[in-house]
Amino acid sequence: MRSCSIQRLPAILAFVATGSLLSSCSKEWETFRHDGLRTGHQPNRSALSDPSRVDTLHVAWQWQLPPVGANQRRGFRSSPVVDDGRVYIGGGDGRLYAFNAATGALLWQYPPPGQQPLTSLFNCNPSSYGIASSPTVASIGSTKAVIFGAPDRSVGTGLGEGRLFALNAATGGVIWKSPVLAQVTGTTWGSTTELHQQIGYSAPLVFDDKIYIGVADHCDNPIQQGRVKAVDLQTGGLIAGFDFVGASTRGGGVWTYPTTDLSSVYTTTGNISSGNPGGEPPVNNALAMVRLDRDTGDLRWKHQPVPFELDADPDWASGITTVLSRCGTLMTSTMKDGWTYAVRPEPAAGASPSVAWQFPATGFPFTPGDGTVHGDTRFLRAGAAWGSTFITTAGGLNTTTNLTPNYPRLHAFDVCATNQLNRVRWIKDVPHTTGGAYSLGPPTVTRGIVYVGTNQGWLVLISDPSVHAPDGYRCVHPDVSAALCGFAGLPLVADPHILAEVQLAGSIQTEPVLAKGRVFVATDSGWLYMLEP
Amino acid sequence: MAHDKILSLPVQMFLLTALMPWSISGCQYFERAAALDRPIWEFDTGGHDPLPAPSVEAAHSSYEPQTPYSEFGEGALMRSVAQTVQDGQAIEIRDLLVGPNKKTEELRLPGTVVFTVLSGSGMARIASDSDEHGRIIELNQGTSGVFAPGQSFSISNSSDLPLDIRLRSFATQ
Repeated sequence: MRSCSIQRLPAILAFVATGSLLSSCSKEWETFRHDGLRTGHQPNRSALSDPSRVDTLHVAWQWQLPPVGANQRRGFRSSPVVDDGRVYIGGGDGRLYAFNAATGALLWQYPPPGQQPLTSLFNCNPSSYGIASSPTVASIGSTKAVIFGAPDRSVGTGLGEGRLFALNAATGGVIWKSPVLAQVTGTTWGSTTELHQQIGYSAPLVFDDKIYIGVADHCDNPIQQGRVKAVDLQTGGLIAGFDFVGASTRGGGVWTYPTTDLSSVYTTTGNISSGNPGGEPPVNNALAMVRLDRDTGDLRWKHQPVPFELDADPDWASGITTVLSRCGTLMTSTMKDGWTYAVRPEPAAGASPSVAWQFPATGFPFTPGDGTVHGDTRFLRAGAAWGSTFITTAGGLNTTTNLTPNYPRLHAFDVCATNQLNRVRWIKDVPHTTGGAYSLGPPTVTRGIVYVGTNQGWLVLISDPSVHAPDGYRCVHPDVSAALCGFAGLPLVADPHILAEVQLAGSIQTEPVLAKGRVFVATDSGWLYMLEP
Repeated sequence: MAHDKILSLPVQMFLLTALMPWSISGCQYFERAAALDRPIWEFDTGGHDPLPAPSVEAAHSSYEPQTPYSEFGEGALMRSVAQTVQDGQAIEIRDLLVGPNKKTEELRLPGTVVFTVLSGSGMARIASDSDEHGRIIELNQGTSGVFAPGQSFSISNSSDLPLDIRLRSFATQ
């Protein structure tokens, strides 16, 4: 074994080097969802993965965004990232902040005080006020950089067109600014002659010396032509040879982050029919999971379960989690209508994708008259991958009959299970939510302990039953009591144990970041917290 | 062996020692598996093995559904979703759930019943004056039909998935 390792040393070294791009085993949390695979998983052991220690989790420091005007304060929709002892986060006030991770001391902010913040004049929801894009840390030459998307009123039309920024991670100095990637040529609601594009929530993916970013719109007023764009990591220059459009006209907005499996770039796309009253356009990549050529953006395949005719705005907004499972690599995601899919990366091109499973397994593509509804429901949080387990806010077995009570509920799926009834590993109704849309932020996980924020401001820690015994068992169908589960021919599944609950201030719509034994989480009321056991 | 020409043995040993903490620090994940050309799950941090099935005596958790189904005769679960009275007609919307590989007994609801299959598949046997065995219809997602007032029916689900049927009944009061 030892001699084998010696022979493979160059290969290991190569992976250490390339690992810095994707950092799927990093102890830090250098990008949204931890790594370029978007696992949302911290694989390294720490106090945060020790069930006997996490019940002492407490706030070590906290910091609040300054007010943007009299009696007005923006919150955080960007999630923090952590690298080399520093925390970086974009604020709804239009500034990117850097802190000492241990003490919370503010190190720098960009733009500096006194300079115009990165805000848009097209305001409609939390994605459009300031910086909603979670940053990414990467090396540009020998310099560590923080890269993020934001509106910028100092460029183009002056209305807050979207571009990428790369800042020196140590000083906050500008390394480069990309050209405008999301155009805003007016602020007239509903105008079909103006462009209302935005980067919004899309978090940059650094992969293969490029940065990929999604472009969507401002509150569907009206929907724009969705895109994925790429810029050069070293210079910030637009890579002209790369382009992906969600539709040939309007539609297919990319509201989420791009993902990779180390081969291609993947993402999910938004609605289309409201922007095409005349009918389906010739190119329709909307409401789809797509695999793209990483050099050109050419479509390799698309998984499009909801056809144009059934589009009632079920944007596919949660993004894709790459699950490196015991049954191979699977690209997993929950659509806004509540259905969850796992798709195999192969074939690489030229054919329909191979869908491993759908949950619930009603069949797809959906067809007019099949009784299903695909509307603007709010299953739009990124999921997390731990081993062969995919943890997500999803519709359950009651998706077609009673969908919305699933908002405060996490499903953990065994992605390799052979049928949908034993696919459900556990189900948890997370406490301390209002029960409605946006009840939960995106969950993260470290070695079986799930961290999730609620819209009542609680950070809740849930233990996979393999880490701590569950509180008991419930029916796999959320609307069937455990007592009647067997009568219905359905199995019981674990109802996992809650290890800790910590109350914070403000709704948590961002991901709990797990880095080197510390939790960093931000809230809608503008608080950034660091907690540790 | 070609690799030996790239790095001398002492250098390799030094690097191996330097990398050892990385390799055992919990970073038993993607890079390591890929570097060693081994399946990722061999380097797992958990989460790969299915949980053991709960025993028959497994304790139930405190979870209770907000809109639970109730037993509605052999093989069937039912719940009322909404009900109202309009122009002397009692209108009620119900969900009928037939579990995997379950068959219901003869069911009967008041008034005219319009049904739509919301998910799953199976067969319905509808009582018929002209056929003592009843009329058989196949049920698939999206299938709709009508049960006449007082008409009995039974449902069988031969699949491994739940069969969900929405029933809208209209009964004169």
